[in-house]
Amino acid sequence: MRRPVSRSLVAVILTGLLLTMVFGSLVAHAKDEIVLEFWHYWDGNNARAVEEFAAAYNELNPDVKVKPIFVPTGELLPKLEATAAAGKPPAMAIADIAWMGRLLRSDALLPMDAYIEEKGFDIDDFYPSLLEYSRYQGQTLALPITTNNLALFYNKDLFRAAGLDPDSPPTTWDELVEYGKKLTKADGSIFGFEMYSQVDETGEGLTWNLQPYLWQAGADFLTDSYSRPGFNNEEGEKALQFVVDLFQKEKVAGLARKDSFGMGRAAMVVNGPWMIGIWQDSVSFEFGTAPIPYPEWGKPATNMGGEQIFAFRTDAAREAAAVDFLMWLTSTENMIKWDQKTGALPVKASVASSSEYRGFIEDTEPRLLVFVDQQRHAHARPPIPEYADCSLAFAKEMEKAYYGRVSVKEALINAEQALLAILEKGR
Amino acid sequence: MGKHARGRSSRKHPLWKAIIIQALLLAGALLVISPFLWTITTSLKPIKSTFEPPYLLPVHFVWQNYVDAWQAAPFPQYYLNTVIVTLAIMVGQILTSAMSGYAFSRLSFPGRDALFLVFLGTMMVPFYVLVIPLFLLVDRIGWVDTYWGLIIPRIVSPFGIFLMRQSFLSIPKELDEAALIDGCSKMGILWRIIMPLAKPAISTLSIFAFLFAWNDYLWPMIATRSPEMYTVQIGLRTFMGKYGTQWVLLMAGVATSTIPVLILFFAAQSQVVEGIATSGLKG
Amino acid sequence: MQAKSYWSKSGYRKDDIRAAFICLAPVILIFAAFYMLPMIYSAVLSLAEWGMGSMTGFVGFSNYLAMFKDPYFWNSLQVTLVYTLGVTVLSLPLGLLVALGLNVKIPLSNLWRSLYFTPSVTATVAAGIVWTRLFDPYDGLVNHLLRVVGIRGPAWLSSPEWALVAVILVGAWKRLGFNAMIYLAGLQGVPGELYEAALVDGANAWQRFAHITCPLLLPTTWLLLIMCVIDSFQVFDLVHVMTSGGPMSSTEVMGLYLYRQAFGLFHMGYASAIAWVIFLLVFIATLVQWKVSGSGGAGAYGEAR
Repeated sequence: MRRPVSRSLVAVILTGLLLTMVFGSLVAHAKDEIVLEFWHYWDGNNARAVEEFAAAYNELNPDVKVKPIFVPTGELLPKLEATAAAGKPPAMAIADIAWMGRLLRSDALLPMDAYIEEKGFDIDDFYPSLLEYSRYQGQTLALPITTNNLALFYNKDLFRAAGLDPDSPPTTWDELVEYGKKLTKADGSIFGFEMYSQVDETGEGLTWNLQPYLWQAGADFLTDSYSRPGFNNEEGEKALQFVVDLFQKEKVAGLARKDSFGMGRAAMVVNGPWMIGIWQDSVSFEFGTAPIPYPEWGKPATNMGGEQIFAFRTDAAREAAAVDFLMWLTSTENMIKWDQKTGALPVKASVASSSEYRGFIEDTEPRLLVFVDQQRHAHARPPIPEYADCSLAFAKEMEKAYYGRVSVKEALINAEQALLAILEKGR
Repeated sequence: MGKHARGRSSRKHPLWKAIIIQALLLAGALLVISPFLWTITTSLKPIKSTFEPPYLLPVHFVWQNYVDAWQAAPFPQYYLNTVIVTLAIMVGQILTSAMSGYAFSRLSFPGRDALFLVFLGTMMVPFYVLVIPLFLLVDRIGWVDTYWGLIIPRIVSPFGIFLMRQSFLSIPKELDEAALIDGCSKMGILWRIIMPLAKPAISTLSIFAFLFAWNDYLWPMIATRSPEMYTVQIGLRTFMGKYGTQWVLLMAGVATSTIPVLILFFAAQSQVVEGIATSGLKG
Repeated sequence: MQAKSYWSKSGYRKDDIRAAFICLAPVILIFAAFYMLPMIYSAVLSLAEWGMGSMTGFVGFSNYLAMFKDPYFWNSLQVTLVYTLGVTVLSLPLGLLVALGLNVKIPLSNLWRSLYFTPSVTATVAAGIVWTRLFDPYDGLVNHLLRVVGIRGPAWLSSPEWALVAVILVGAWKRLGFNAMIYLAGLQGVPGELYEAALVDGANAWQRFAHITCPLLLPTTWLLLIMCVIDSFQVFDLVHVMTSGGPMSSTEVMGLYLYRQAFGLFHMGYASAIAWVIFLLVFIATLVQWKVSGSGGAGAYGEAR
C-alpha cells in the first residue's frame, strides 16, 4: 500500500510542475497591442460603468486596450507606490483626493499640459476647488473624475414603525438625538444612528465622518493654511461633545458597528451618494436622503470627497494613449453619461448645468439632489502630504473619546499635540 | 487541563468510557465546525431577507446565490491558480528541505552549524520585512503577475529544513553506514535509505507546505496584478471588497472558496494520516 | 547541537563536502536571492528615511529610538504577547486532549479527526469574514448560544476588552486541529510495548501518561510550541480581516502596526525598524526553546527509543 501511494504522489507532483511551466510560459507571452492597465477600487455601478467605458473606447481605438483592474481600496495606494518605485506602474489609475497630496509630489505622475494644449481640452470647465487636487507646481498631473459629499440616509420603514414622519428627517442636532431615541430599540437590535467609529487601517473613515460636525460648529481641522490644528477650541468641543453623547449619553449610536444601516439595524447613517446605488440593489427597505443635520446656531457643512484620474510616466506610446483615454473619458459628453450611470456628482460646470443631467436626476434619482445641493457647503480636506498621518493620529484620539475613556477636552488637547508634532516634523 | 491518560486502543477502555469519550469528541467537533454550517445556511438565504436570529441548518435553499457569486467572480480560475502554485510550492519545499536537512544532519563540512543557525534564524523573520525588497527584486526579474513570482521565492522553507534535519537525526546512523559499505554514494543514501524512512516527516512537511501555500495572503496580494492570476485568498478578499454589505452573496463566495478544499482534504487526509500512523514518527 | 556529539570525528570527508555542495548549492542560491538580499535591504531601510517610492537619506538609529518613545509600539508589543500566549495556552493542551481522544480505534475516529482539522485548511480570509459575523453582539451565533444558556454576551469585536479575546479564540480554533494532528502522529509513534510493559508493572493511567506519553511527546510539544509562537507572533491576516486592530488599538498586533506604518503612512524606514525588533524578539524566544529542546526534548526522545 505504501509504495503506490508515494509513486502517485510523485506523479501528481511532477504533473503539477509541468503545468506550472506550461501556464507560466503562456502567461508570459501574447501581448502586441498597447495595453493600458487602469487600476481602480470601484465597485457596484462604478465598476460596471468603467468596464463599459473601457469597452466603448477599445472599440473606437482597435490598437489600444484599456484594461480596468480592481484593487481593494486599502491596497491601491501601496501598490501604486511600490510599482512606481520599481519603475513598473500601471498606465493609469484613480486615487482618492485624500491621497493626492502625496501622489502629486511624487515624480511618477505624467504632466498632461502639453497634451491638453494640443487637443484644446477645456480644463477650466472643471470646478476650481477640485483642480486643487490636480495640480502641483504649475503642472497638471491629474484630472477630476468624481466628486461627492456626505449626507444623511434614513430608513423610511423604521421611521414609520417608530411613528415618525418618513418625509421629514431630522434637520438639527437636537432633532437627530430626539428621533434617534425614538428609533433605538433597547434590546440592541436597532440603533437610531450609525456613526463611523473605527480607526481601521488609516483612521480616515472616522476622521472624515467627524469633520463635518467640526465645520458646522465653526471649528476647523487644520487652519492658517494648514499649519496648525483648528479644533481645540469652544466650537470643536461642542462638536465632539455632540458626537460623543450620541454614543455615551443618549446611546442612540453603537460603537464599531459596520454596515448596520445596510442591514436594517440602524435607522440613520451619514454616507456618500455612491451608497444610493449599492443599497438600492441590496436592501429591502425604503430609504431617503437629507442634508446632514446641523445646530441652529451653526451652519450647514459637509465633507468633500472624490477621485482624480491620472497617468503614470511609462513610455511615449502608452503615455499618449493613456492621456487620450483620460481626456475622452472626462469630456462633457461622457461625464454626463458617467454621472448618470454611477450617481457621482458632476465635476464640471458644463455637466451640472446641462439640462440633460438635471432632467435625468429629477426623473430617476431625486435622492441625489440633496448631494448636488450640498456641494456648495462641502469643505475640502487639506491637500498636504502629512494629511494621512494627521488623520490617523486624530482618529486614534477621537476613538478614545467615543469610548468614553478620555474626556472631550483631553481628546482635543491630545489630538492637537499629536498633529502639531506631525506638522512640525513635516516642515 | 484534564489530561487524562488514555491508552492506545479501545480494548483498554470499558464501553461506557469509550462512549463518553466519543460523546465529548462529537460535541467538540460540532462546536468546531459550526461556523461552516452557519456559512452554508446563510449562503442559501434569500438576498433581501431581513435579519433574524441565527440558525445552523438551512431552511431556505436559494441556489441562485451561488450562480450570482460565480458570475460576480471567476472562482474556477482562482482555484486553478491556487492549485498550481500550492503543488509547486509543496514539491519545491520537500526537495529543498530534504536535501538541506540531509546536509545538516548527516554530512560534516566547514561552517555547517553556523549555516544551519542562519537558516533557523530566518525562520522567524517576519515576512512583511521582506515584502517590499522582495517585490522590487521579483519585479526586476519580470516575474510579477506570473506563476514563477508566486512560487520560486516560496520554495525554500527554513522550517522545512529544520523539520527534515530533526527527522533525519532520529534515523539510526548505522543504516547509512551499512549502505556506504555496500557501495552506496552519499547522495544515494539520501534517496534510497533516508527518504523512504522519513516518509512520515515528509507527509508532515507536505501538510505544512500545503497550508502555508494555500493560506498565503500578503505575497500573492502584492505579486499579482490581474484577476487571471489571483489565488483563492486574494479573489475572496477582492470579493469581500466588492460585496461587503451583501452578506448572503459574500457567504456564497466564502463557501465556494472553502468547500472544494475541504472535500479534497477529506478525501486525501486519511492517506496522509495513515502514512504517519503506520510508520509512526519513530521511522 | 545534538548533531555535534553524533559527529565527533575530526576533519571533513571529501565526499561529504561534495554531497553537501550538491545538496545546498541550489538552496543557498534561492535563499540568498529571496531571503538574504531582501533582508539586507530591509536592514538598510531601517536606518533610512523613505520618501515617495524611494529612500531619501540615512537617519542612523533614530527610527529605533523613535520606537521606544512610541506608546502605540509598546501597545502592539503587549497585544502581540497576549495573543501569542492566549493562542498557545489554548491550542496546545486542547490539541493534545483531542489527540488523546482520537487515539483510540473506533469506526468514526477518522471523521472526528477530519472535522477537527477543517479550520486549519480554511482560508484565513474566509474564516475571518465568517467569525466577524458570528461575533455580532446582537444576532451573532456566539451571543445567541450564550443567550440560550442565560449569559448576556459581550460586544466582542466592538469592545476594547473583548475584541482580543475573540481574535484569540478564532486563532486557537484555527490551530487546534493542526496541533491535534501532529500530536496524534506523535502518540501513534509511541511504541505499544512501552505501555504493555508499564501495565505489567502495574502503572495506572495517570502514571502511564506522566511517565511514558509525556516525555515521548516532548519533542512534538517543542516543535508545536516553536511553531505556534512564531506564527502567532507574526499574526496579520486574521486581525486584518476581523478588526483592523481596533477598537482603541486593543487588537493592534505588531504585524498590523507595522503594516499600518508601512502601507498606510509609508514610513518604510520606521516599519523596517519595527520589523527588526520583532525579528529579534522571536529569535531570542526561539533560540531559548531550541536550546532546551535540543538538549532536553529530543534527547529524551532519542533515549527512549
